[in-house]
Amino acid sequence: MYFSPSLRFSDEEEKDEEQPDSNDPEKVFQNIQFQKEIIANIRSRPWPMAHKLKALRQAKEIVLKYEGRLTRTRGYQAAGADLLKKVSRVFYNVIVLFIPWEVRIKKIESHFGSGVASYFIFLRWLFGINLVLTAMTGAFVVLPELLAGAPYGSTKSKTVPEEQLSSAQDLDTIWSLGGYLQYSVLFYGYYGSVRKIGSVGYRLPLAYFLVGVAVHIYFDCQTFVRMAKNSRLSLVSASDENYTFCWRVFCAWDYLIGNHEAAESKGAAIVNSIREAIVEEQEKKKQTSLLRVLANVLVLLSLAGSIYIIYFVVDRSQRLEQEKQELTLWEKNEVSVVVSLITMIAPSAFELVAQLEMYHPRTCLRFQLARVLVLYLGNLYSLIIALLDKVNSMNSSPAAVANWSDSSAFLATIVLPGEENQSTITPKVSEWQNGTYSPTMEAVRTPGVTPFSTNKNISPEFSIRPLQDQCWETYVGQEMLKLSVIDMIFTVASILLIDFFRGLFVRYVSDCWCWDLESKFPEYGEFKIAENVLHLIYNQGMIWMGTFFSPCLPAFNMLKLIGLMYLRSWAVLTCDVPHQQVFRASRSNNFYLAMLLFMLFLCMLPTVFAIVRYRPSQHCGPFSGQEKIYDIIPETIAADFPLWLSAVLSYVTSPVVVLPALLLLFMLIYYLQSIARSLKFTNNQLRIQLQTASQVNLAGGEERVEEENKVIDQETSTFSSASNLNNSVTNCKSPEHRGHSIATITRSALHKDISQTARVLWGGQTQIAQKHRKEYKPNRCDM
Amino acid sequence: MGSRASTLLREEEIEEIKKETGFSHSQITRLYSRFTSLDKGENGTLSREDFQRIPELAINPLGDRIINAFFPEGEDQVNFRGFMRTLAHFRPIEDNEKNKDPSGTEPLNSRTNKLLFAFRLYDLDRDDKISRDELLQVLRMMVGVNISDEQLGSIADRTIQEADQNGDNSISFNEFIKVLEKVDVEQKMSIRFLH
Repeated sequence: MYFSPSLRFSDEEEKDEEQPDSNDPEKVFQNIQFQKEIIANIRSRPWPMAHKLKALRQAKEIVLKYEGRLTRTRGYQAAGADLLKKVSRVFYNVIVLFIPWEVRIKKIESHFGSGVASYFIFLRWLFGINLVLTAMTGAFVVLPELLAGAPYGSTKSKTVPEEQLSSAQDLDTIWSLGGYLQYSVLFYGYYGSVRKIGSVGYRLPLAYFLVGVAVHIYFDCQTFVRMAKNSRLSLVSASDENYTFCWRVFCAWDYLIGNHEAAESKGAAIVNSIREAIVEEQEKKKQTSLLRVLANVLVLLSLAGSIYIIYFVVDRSQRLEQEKQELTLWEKNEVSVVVSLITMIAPSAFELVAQLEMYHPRTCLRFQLARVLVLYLGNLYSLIIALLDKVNSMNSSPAAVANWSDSSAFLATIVLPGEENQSTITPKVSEWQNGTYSPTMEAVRTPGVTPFSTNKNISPEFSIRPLQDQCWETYVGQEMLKLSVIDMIFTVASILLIDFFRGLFVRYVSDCWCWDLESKFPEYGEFKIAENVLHLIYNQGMIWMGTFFSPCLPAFNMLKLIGLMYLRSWAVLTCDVPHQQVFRASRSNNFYLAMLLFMLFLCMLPTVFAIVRYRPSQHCGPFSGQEKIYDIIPETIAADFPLWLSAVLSYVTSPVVVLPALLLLFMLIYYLQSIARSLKFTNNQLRIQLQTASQVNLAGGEERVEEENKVIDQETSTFSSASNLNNSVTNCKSPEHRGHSIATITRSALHKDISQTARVLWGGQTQIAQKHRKEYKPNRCDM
Repeated sequence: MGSRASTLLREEEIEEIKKETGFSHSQITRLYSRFTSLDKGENGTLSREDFQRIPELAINPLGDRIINAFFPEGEDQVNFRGFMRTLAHFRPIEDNEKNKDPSGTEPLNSRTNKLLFAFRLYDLDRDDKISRDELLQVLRMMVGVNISDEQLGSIADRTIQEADQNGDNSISFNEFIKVLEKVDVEQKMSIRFLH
């Protein structure tokens, strides 16, 4: 009983004090808290002064008397726990503000559905990853080079060569990333190969290599972690699909909404989710059609056609490069432009074809994704093959140079008479054709080059290019960056053209046009989820390919993603209409992540191939002078670590150890797979038993249900520890009231899970009981 | 706060309300402050307009029905006792209460009674069944004019199909309980008192 002071003073109060409540420490504690509250608020009570004084004295006595029994720490503990709760609540409220673009994405989600929002969530996640990559490359590679490496102009590989200096600031040069951009930290060629730089002896080449590896590993880990988390979520939500409609009807509203705009968004979200449910229902009644075969044939044809076009264009550009000296702007960028055009147009063509098929929208989306993925891969790989060709040719020339190394050194020191600037001359060896060497002549840009009659070793037919240009890694980095830039330009152009101007056109011209532009062709644009997601993945693939050769590429990509986010979210809200057909994108998004991993793997291959196969350039980059790029690792181990370590490592990496380890790994994978399979099976069994148990219960047989539950209980006790699917574990409770179903889930242990499940499923709470929030809000200062 | 609140609420009243609803002393006093702050007319009772002034209730699709639940049959004013009686449904369930009193009547804030409160919001004609028409009304209030009638009708049919077990084409209270058995009703339909 609480001691409640009242107007009437009598011995009753004395009696109250003596009540034996000391056997319940909880009650005593609460009593003490109550008394303390009285002491704190005694001033504001409208009692006569004598009353107040007496109440105060009594309260203080009680507190003194009983507080000694409970230790002080109990009070502090409770106070501490309260404070912690408040602080963490404030903290979480503040943290939400820092999630970038959250408001924007929620708005898009409520207007356009979860499918469109999943694209933006994916974009945000990619942005986060790129941020980390930028931080990694920036901190470990770029900054040390900037701070402690040799500055610009100190070595040959870091200076713009003389003959290019005059044109170094031309727009043309900047566009093709030559000139000052080429000789900067942007590209591989700038980094010095000095083993240790700066006063601390920072091993830059080692760091360069390790960061390149770490970037890939980090990305792999992140993707896997996210996939695992998503699959756990999807497993939870997948099992409880019994009452989806009822939940949508009864529990969809979020009763905490008080803002008018938020209410509109929520209403739109509910409408969307109901539409999605309708579509899901209707889809179960569709049949297959013959048109699908025709559609597939068309798609295959167009894919083959696009790959051929790209191959043709790349081939043509290679031939052009051999034949002509000066390439026009178009010819230089022809390949990139054609590739971008194809990637813009072909997906729309696929979509038109897909209308023949009439699949469920989600299946349709997946098909579209698969087709566009093949298209992108074809493009990317033809580009890569061309690139590797070029790299091969560039790389093999140093071998020729080696034969003439003396002469090239000799040539390098020649100062042509009558010229102010030095020019270094190196024979440029062009394509090896049919195994025979046929040099071609290339005009040199330096003025007034006379035939080198001074040097007898080299025939004047050698084409001449500066030593620095022999950096194939820089070239690869340049190409990747160029591709990325052109891709961005085309994206912006396509967004503006296809969405914005189309919207304007349809809106303003449709009044004076022959047919209704808004309902027939061209209509307003719809947000194409498939192509945009794939575009993101393709973009990321380019980054991976190029990061090793151009360490600033993740930074550039980060900026690109920010721009893309703002541009696309503006475009979607301004120019697009919600899809006519709405479907619930699987919230797990594991499909996107799986494709991302696939792309990562495929894009890693060429880089690894280039690293393993080709010799690093002789005269530029951190690995110049080595046989292979990865030689830096054994060299470091041999030089900087104790001897026994390198012996141990050489044993470990020998086939004797590696093969059994691989075998062990395979066995482990197989074992884990079989466990997962058996657990899934048990999960299904449990679910079936749950359903039959609840049905039996409703029929009224309590004893039978008890037995069923005993069986369930046994099985679950065996497996509940092994699986993380605690949501489906039933707990036996004896029936509290007649008519209550027995197979309820225990409240205490699974509160959080259920409410999480609830939120995942239908994102809202019951419609009623929202007023209690208001109850306590303004009442912090009273009492 | 002011002295107004305490003088109008006497201790005996607090005790009675405590017995009837189960709220604690401090909770009752807090709720009384809330009551008086809502009561703009300062006559000790709340009218429907006072409730409409709460934005969350005004925006809620079922707001009117919730407000109605406070007022006894045919009346337009509710005093503090009536207010507390309705709010008793939303008292949080404490752990030590669950095992205390199996023999006596169920407290007003048990899970069943909370669900009954919710059920009565849908079941307007009080026949202990949510019929298809009542569902349609609720759906229409939620989605506005964005969805056509046949589609809404098919959703209502589907909903009843999911929940109905005895085949009478309507949702009875027991079926309602079954539908919401995985929903965390005790926490959602409870006032959260912060200390």
